[in-house]
Amino acid sequence: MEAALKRKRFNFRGSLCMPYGVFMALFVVLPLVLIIYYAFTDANGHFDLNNWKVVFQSVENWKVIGTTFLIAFSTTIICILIAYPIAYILSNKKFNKNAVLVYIFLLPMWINFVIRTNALKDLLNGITDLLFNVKLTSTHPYISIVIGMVYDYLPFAILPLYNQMLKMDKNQIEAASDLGANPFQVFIKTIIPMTIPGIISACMMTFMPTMSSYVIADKMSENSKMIIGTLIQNYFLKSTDKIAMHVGAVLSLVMLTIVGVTLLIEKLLTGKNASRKEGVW
Amino acid sequence: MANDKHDSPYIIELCDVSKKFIDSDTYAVEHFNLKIKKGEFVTFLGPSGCGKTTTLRMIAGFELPTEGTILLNGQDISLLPPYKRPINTVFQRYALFAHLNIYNNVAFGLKLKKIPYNPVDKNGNQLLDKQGNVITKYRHYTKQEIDEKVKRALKIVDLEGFEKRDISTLSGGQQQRIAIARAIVNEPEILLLDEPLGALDLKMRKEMQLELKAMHKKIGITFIYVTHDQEEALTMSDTIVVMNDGEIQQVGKPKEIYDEPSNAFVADFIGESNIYTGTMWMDNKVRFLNKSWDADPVDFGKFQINEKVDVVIRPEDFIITSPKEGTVCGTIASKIFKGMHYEYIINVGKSEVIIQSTNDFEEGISIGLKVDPVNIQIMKKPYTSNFYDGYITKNYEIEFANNTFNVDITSLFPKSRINEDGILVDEKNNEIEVEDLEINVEVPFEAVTISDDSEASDIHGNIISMIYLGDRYQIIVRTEDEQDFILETPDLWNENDIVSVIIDQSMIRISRKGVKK
Repeated sequence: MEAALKRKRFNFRGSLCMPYGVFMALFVVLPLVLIIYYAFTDANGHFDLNNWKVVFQSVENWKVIGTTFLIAFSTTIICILIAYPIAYILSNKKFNKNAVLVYIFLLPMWINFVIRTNALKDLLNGITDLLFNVKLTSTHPYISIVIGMVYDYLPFAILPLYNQMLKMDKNQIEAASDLGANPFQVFIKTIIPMTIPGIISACMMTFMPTMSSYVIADKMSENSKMIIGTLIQNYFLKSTDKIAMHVGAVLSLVMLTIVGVTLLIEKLLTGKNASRKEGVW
Repeated sequence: MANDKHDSPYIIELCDVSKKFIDSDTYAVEHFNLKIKKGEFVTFLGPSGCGKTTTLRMIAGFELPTEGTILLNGQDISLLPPYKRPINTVFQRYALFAHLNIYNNVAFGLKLKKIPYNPVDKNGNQLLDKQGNVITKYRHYTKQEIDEKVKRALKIVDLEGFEKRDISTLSGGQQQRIAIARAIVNEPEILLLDEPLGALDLKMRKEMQLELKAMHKKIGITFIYVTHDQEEALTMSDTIVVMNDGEIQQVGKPKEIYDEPSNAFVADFIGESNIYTGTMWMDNKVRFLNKSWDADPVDFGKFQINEKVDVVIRPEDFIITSPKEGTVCGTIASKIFKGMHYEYIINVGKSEVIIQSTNDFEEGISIGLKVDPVNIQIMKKPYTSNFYDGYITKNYEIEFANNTFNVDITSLFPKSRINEDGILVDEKNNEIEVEDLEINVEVPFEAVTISDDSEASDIHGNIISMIYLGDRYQIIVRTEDEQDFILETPDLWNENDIVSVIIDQSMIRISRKGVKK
């Protein structure tokens, strides 16, 4: 009797998940199934691996994947290098008494990022035009793409680091200093290890979106540099080729795999520090 | 630095050290003077917020003193950063490095340390520089040396073989031992312990107390220990420093502090006490509980006749006699069995006396009480009035503690009066300008009463302290703008109660600043 009651209650609770399940099925599972279906079929719907050949035999595509990696990688590194000291200062009560400064850093996120990116492009070009008489976006598309990416994704790097640093055990810092570590050694030996979960999630938060976003790359390079996102978009929307959609699906799967692998790496890294895993977002 | 050998027996001296935090108006530590001998076990004891931890942090170097100097072996280290001081700390919450295993936690300081050595040539002669001085170089410890030292430290704390374990696999007590090992492995000149046993359960705490004491004997370095637990302090220390409100109340051996508390605060804080306000009587007698008692001969001549004093008697120092033999008589109001002894509360007149005795008496019977004169502690009463800084307003009222009071201000100026127009004039009818004149205001304890009716007065505050003085309570009420009102009342209030402070204006005494009466 009691068991039956329990089961009943459990079912009720479980039913609360239903809307989420429907949503997942419609907007995550179904598209995924479609992508996989398209990736392994030809224009007539027959099983076919030709799409994969098209993708991987083209040197151009490999170049695009390489470019994407390079941009995502450098963006992530630069974001961490800039975000770390900012987060450190923000987490210090001395400088940031009531966390208002955090909002100042997050405020740009309230503006549509296409507008922001366009504005940044014009600003950059204006400055380089004035100083060197060149337009950065057309002469150095790589640099301007990275600048644009860093600008847009910096808040995503700051927040997890800031969160982690708020939770830092100040006693451990004092203990290190007490045991003879000078400020630099304190930083290397205690502050960095304590913030590693924050660093990892900040990396994820910047690496994954930079891998897939293409608007910033398009705008900041005046459409001169392609990354995976652009390529996929082109296959799906611009190409008139019969199997274009199928090739695009393959590329989507490739990108999905890359993101999956980075997630896996994150899991392995944080798994080691399982005791401090909570708080990674 | 090494040449400047100091022969003073003191390892650390705090000279007039004060600390005021930037965002605070009051001093956390005020005029702290203390000298600590090499190898001593010193305990800073006091209620929370008394400045004991701040003092410890100044010795460690985490806080810098606002005033005063700290000398280590005679050398000023007041402004030295923590990593340059040969002092290590055991933190209240251990502060172990979670990303390192036990071995690396303990070896943390050793790996950073650089030790001087004199290089030698092939023949074993010491190398000399151009001036003929022995060359001194610095090197890190070798892996072997670190290994040995870590092993030895882990042995001292009884955790051999734990090197490879993760911090999270240890219990609280074990973590605390690792924290101690991590500190002592560096062979510091002073080991600071900031309430290190606070997070442990009672049984563990008792064990660790004894172990710490044994460890202190074994390694022989100076321990400075911070605690709010008076029993812990009495058990472990060579010297206890009792602190309150940022000031030292008493420094002494545990027995001295217990037997001869220097004021009512110490007596109340250390152990149970009966505290009464007494009056010094003739023939070296002291009067309290409405009877005259023989005073302790050491107190002869220390006090003036009729001086108000605090009298402290420990519960175990009362001797129960038959009603005829006792100095005072009372009835046993309650009796509690405490294992080793009975605790009685005796009603003597309107006062209560707490007594511990191994003898069994019935509740409700009449008994006599006497005390061996040496067990009567007589102490100077800290003060019997509140003192404030005030000034005179336009309307000849006085203002202090953010309130105005009607007080006759003619007492400030001899032969002055207030004329028909309501103006303060001197004997020649010339007006005396007194607006904004600064004055001393004295409010005797008797002039202050408190009420829980918030309409009763405009002064509101919290009860921050309450000390039982045998027949009444001494209460300190602190207002929002940090003005203290001290009063005495027979009524029981609760700490942190918000009360209105009522002041009998007729009892306020005022005097001009800089003018002696």
